[in-house]
Amino acid sequence: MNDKVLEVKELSFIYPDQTCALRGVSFVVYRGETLAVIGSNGAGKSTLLLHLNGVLRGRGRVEVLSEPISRKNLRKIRSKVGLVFQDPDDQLFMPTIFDDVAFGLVQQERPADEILERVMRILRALGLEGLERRSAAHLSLGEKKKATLATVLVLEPEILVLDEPASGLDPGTRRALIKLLTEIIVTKIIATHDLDLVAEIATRLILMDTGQVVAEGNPEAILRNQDLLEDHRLEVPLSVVLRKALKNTPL
Amino acid sequence: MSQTNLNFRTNFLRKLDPRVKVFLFVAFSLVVVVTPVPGGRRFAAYFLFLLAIAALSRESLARSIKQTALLFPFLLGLGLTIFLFGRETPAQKINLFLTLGIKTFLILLALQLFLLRTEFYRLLKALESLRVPSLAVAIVSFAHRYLFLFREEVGRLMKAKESRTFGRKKLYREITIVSHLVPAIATRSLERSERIYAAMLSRGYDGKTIRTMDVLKLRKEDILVCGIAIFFLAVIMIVF
Repeated sequence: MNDKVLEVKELSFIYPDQTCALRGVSFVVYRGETLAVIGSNGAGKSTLLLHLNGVLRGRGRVEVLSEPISRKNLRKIRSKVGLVFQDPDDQLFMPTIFDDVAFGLVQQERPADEILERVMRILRALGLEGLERRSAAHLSLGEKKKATLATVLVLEPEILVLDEPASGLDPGTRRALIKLLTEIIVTKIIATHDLDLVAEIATRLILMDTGQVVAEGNPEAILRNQDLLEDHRLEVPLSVVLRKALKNTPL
Repeated sequence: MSQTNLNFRTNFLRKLDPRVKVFLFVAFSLVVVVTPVPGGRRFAAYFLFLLAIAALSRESLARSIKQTALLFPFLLGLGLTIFLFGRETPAQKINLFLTLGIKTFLILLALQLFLLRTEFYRLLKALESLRVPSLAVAIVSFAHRYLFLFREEVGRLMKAKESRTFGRKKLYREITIVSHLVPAIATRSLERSERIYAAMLSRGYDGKTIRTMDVLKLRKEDILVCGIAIFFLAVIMIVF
């Protein structure tokens, strides 16, 4: 568990319109853990995620598998860190689901046979078989979310980074997605303000506000801390409230 | 199964390699364009050629004609400019208008038959393998992919406008409001394009060529059909 796979040191980022999105963010991610990054809207979660595979480059240092991200190793880093965007329509840009899932492998110039085999394998695993010739425009939101996961999982990343994976999903699809995420055995970093999801799958948590890390530690402890959460425009998740209430209620 | 995929690749035309279809469409269009005026008999033969292909592939030419008819108002506009601004005699003007009309009609019909009933992604693959610049193919691909979202985006903005519009609509006021909506749509489109670009980068895109996997395989039947079609076009040009 103490095998470090990602380290962020003193990371700061200012957008061209002078919005300061990150202010000296530092944290470490260990192999196999599920790290949740929580925070209200505008806390800097999505900006932080875009730094983890070099899409954005701020001041400070981001190391993936002990290698600092630089222009030279971007290709390698992006094959190790798979980034799943919040809106599937941003990630599914090719004419068919097959082309979308194959996109990363084609960029890596893998042989055609291997691409075909890996794409079909991942589509089967995620229950998307039969949709490979469809356009993303004709899929439901749940199918789109699964397809975005497929586009990244097909690259067999060592770290899976997800931005608001369950947003906009109905309860059934959300439940299926959570089950799927728990079954994927890979280091995960999940940015969300769905704190019930965090309570269910996170092994560690960092809380962000105005571009800074304001708390880090055990999810259970942070999610029970009402004052801390409310100070940063969040609230104790219903699942934690219920668990607490049930503990105090004699059966 | 989506509606667009229904009844797919059930006849020889739909099974045909899309590269052959693109080639046949370009060849047919060129032949029609270079046909000298008057070419009444040749035009009739070209129409029969399309009719024969439609019959052999059990495609409805009537449907294609109906869809082509949507463009007739533009043809009328063209005709008007010929009649208003041309220096030719009235008889020449009528001849020119009819020739242009027939040529456009035949090319649009061929477009319907050869290209618009082909799965879009196969058409893109065909353009790619026919060495059409990848940037041009990517632009067409993105336009097709995001047209639906753009329409939804515009629809949402229009609904928001409608929900806050009270009283009688005045044209000037409407134009002012819509002129404010256009920059909002442009900004949203720009933001989305930036997110899409970030998604492409994060999956290894190097900012140069968008590569896709080549899935097209030219069969003997494709070459045969192409050869026969070209032969008939040549016969029409020589005999008529």
